[in-house]
Amino acid sequence: MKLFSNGLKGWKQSWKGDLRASISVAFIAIPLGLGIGLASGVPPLAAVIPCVVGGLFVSWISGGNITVHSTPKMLIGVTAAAVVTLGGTNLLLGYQLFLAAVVIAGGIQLLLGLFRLGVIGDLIPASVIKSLLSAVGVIIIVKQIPDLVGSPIHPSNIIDLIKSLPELIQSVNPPVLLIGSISLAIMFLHPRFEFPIIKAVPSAVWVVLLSIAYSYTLGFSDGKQLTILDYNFAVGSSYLIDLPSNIVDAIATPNFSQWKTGVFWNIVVAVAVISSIEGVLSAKAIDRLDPLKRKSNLNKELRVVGLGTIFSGFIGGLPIIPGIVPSSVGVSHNGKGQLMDVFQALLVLALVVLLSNQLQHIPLAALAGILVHTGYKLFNLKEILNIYRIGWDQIIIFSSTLIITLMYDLIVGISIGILVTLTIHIIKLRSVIKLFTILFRPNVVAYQEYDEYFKFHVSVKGYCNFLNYPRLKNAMDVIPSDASINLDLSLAEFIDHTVMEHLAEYEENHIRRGGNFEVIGIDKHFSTGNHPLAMRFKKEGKLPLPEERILTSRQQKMQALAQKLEWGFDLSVRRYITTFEKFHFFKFKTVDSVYNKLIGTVDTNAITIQDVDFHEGELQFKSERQTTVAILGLNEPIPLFTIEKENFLDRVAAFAGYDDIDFQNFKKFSNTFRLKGDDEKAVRAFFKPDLLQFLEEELQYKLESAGNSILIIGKERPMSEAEVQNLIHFCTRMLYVILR
Amino acid sequence: MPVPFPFKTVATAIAFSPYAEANLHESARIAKMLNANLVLIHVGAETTEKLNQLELLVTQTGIDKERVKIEFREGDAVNCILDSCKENTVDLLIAGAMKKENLLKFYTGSIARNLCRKAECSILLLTDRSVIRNKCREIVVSGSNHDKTEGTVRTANYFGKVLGAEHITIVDEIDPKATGNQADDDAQLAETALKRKELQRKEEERISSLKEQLELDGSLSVNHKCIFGKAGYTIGHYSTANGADLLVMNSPDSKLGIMDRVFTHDLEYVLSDLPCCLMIVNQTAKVIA
Repeated sequence: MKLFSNGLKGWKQSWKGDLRASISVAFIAIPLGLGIGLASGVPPLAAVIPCVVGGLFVSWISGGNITVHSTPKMLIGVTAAAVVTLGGTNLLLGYQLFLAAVVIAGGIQLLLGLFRLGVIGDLIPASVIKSLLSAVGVIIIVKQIPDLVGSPIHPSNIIDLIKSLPELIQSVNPPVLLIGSISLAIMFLHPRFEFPIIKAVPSAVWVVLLSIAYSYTLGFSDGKQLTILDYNFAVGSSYLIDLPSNIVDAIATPNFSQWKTGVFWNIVVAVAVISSIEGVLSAKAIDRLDPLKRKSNLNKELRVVGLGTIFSGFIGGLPIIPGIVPSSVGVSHNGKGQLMDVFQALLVLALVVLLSNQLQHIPLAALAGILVHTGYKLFNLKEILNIYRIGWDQIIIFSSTLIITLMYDLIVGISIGILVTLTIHIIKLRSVIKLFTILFRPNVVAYQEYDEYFKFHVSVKGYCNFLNYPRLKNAMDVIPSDASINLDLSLAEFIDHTVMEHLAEYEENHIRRGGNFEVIGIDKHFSTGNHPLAMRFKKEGKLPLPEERILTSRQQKMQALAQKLEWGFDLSVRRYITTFEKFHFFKFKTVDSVYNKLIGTVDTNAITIQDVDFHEGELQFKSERQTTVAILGLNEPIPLFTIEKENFLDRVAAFAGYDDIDFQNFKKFSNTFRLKGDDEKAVRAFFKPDLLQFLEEELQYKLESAGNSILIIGKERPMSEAEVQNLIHFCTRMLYVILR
Repeated sequence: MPVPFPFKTVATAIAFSPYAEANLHESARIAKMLNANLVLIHVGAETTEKLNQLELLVTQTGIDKERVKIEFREGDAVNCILDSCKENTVDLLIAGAMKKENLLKFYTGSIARNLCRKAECSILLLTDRSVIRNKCREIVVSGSNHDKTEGTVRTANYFGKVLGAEHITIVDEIDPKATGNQADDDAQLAETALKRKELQRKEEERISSLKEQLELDGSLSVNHKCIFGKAGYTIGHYSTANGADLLVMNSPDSKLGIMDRVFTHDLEYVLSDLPCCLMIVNQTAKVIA
């Protein structure tokens, strides 16, 4: 399904909507950019340049479909620190040296894109990324608090902030604090207002408009003394944003003189890695916003963004990334194409040139309010509170990364986070070697099922963690987006939280694009926490009771199915089951345990559907298997028989007088299936025409009767919930036909 | 095209280990089914005590004593066994192996694996002796695009019939790189899907003609499956996932050395983690004989 074509034709279709959306986008891009620039300790327009360069040059060749480009927020801390490290007290020199790092980092991103390494965002554990985002949130908030309250004290990190809190409170400037608080209040309360006019204008624009009015009223630009209740307060242009009067003055050139130093290259790596991570994260998030459900090309996006970053760096701008905030504003205002980005760039450029005198009047505190809100969103308190449910391991990863990032910097934080994650995996796997072998060995097989064309089976073996997830992703990516995927993890011994999270995301995306996706085979894995996305692993021993255990998505779906049909659903794992011994199919197999039992009735005849773990052979020759079977319990005895799909050899054998029972009036049934029974007369009497007709149309399983019950068995693997639904449907209909 | 069957001489190495008895019983049973002679190779000095013990074991299996030859050889196990196979024009060597090996053993190589790498005759690696004894139902055979494949598939079919197997699945591993394994966005996905379909159709035609030939000599029920994936690995994983009892593969084109284990490929994937019993079909042996 594609409503919009690519290239010129697509632009023709979408330009009207894009133009309208771009107005809102431009209005939000300016305050956001100015704020990021200020917080980064560079001239504020340096963070607006990427929006313009991104829109005017990058968007034409972008890998995305509704991507509006902007400046990376995660780089705020890195930039501020780098400018000081490189330039010392000379901030302008520091800025120019930093621009050189931006240009080279852009080159690195371009290379990453050319080598198709867009997966870099997947190669970092989920909890480390969450922790990084929270850390950046904290860094932004800490940096903005002095500006928000109008204090001249600028603590460099959170510990400094706590230490200097008493001085900070003493140096608060109330008129500045007031506009800061108003700005914060607007940012936090805006989503709750239902009034159409308030809603139509984005919160950041309200902040800018109100704050400009406020600064005019109080005369910030003239540097007045205010007297309120006998207290004197000074307001002056130092509390306002500092913009060059001529736009050309905003252009700066990079200074490459430091390229031989290690410090410089540290910064290059930091800029390249962080903006790639944030870029990939937002590109994926933007895809989920797309009303037309298109998929953007991450590698292409990485390439063009790298190219744009080089260009932006040369004229004095920060790196470019796909921006989630402007893109989502654009989409919510009906933007549908890449032209949105071009229009917003033109508008931003025009507004900055035409309104630079008015923009000069924005108080810093107002922009600080916008940024504190952004920082709070990045910190994401709700997500943090959720982590303890995923398991103790994720708490350790999260908190160690957060603390290290706040103490040192983001790159050290990422490295420590990855190391801690690997250590936890090594402890869980009890082997270092296993962890390294998975790096070099394939572990995924994906193939089409025999009978259904659009059904794919993906099997994962051994260990599956964030390091080899790209293999699994590549295998699934080449499957058509409207196909049905059964991801079988029954052979996987270990699946980490990052993969579980990626899979949940993959499931969402695949279903949104018209396919079907189900994870099967982890119902009996252990988990470290009480969360559907917690790490899963195999272990000897008894599973905890169903009430104490978190259900997999398959179990949840089956539970919902049972509720809908008003069937019973028993989650407990039962061992030493003897029910199966009477069936020929299990004659040479030993049933270890049964679980996930669905129980229903049709006229006092019972239907049970359950997962069965069984094995063949013993000791070191044991081969363990899983399947899902249905048993129809009948009140009246029936003859013994088996029905299986007929194969070539049997067809030959049947001529020679074997005991395949054929029915003259049901040629198709007789040809496709092999029916055997010890009492042919009774079997013929039992298989009445309507039953034969039903089986001829519907049968895709093996059937076996044991006198008072019928075993129905599919493939030798657990069934997905969709397949269980089909099985239930088959069983009920078959019972009705038999009882009729 | 030379084919190695019917197997006229079967050999197995016999040591006095806990598995020796099972191994001997299994080999004798296979020899009986194939109506072949059996060579028992023991690496070690010949003593009357050992000979008596072996003869007792042979009597227990109930095989015709005339058809059994017991050989004692001294020296390096792998070389002794291979020499004996050559001298006795053995068609099929049976060896027992563990499913998984630890890393050290994997790189230094166990006897069974080294036999697989070096043998000039076909070889049957038994991991799961009891399953073969019960029933071998599912056979998976490699259908890669190679000159040897036809002979291998026919051998698998012959052997499957002898063992009384039910199904045989020809698995064709297609190198995903052949189609440009890219699906970064919708356009690429569509292009890749189209290329894959085309390639799959071609491969299916090839397999179908192979199947037709098989059906002429009365085969088992044959399925086939084209899978995009790494050669050697994919078929092993498929066999595990589908509970195959016997995997039949082509012999390696060149002798496998230590470097092949470091940079694992093809047969080495299967050898490092045996999914089930493995049969490596070697067609050159017949030409030499």
